[in-house]
Amino acid sequence: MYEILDIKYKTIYSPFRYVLSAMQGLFTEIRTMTIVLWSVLALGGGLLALWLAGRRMKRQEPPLPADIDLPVTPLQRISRWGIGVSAVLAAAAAALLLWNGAETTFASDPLRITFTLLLVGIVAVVGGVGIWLRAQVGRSDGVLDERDRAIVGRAPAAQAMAMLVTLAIWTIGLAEHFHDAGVVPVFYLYLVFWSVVVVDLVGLPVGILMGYRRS
Amino acid sequence: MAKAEIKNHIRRLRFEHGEMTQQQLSERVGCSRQTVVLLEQGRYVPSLSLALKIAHLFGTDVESVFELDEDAR
Repeated sequence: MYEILDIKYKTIYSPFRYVLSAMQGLFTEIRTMTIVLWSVLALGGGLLALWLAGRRMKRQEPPLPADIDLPVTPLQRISRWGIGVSAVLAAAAAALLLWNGAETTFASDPLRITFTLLLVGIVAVVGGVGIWLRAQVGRSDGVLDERDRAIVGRAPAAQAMAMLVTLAIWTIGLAEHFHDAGVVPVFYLYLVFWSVVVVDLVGLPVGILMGYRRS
Repeated sequence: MAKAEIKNHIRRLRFEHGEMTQQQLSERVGCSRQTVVLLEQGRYVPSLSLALKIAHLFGTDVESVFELDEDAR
């Protein structure tokens, strides 16, 4: 890519030079970005996709009158709880990575195990919410009513898009960052896997909360 | 296809039936209180099953509880 840009840069007249120069600068930036920045970008991209999907789902009707008290359903409560605990665990994992540096974290067994346990904690919490949901959806005498069931049915719609965005950011980032080396360190694969798992699992309660805004 | 606008008389019927609370209604027909609030505000159109349960609870037929909004027809 650099070589192609260099050839064109010499032959194309000045207005395009700024564009090509900016592109060269962008690729240079991409190649030198740190692992932490990529992790933040990949997770942020996935969550941004979820947020954008939520914006599209936003209720078109005017808001309810101020004197109307809209009670929280058990499904909303458990979804908020799951997202909250996941956010705390994800923040702790990110802090561990930032504090020690990515390479040190992955080279040290105690740090790597702690990092993994924090992420496994997210899987356990949000996975637990998913298991509870499946059990409740199948019960006619459970805490979910027909509206809750419809919301649960629509909730996974944004998950696939969020996972694709996360994977796309990782793929572009790793391909550019390690273009010259031709190999990707193993711990990047570890982060790719965990970021996709987290985005996928957290996508379900996020989709549920978005569903309540719409319906 | 245009979305059907359906209005209902749930709020009035609740008060005519011993000032039944939203919580009591939700428990007796098997839905959340949030659903009852949204039903009364015309923000949620129930399934036929829930509409029948509500009508039976008030001892009337579905058309006495729910009706198509004439303005929206």
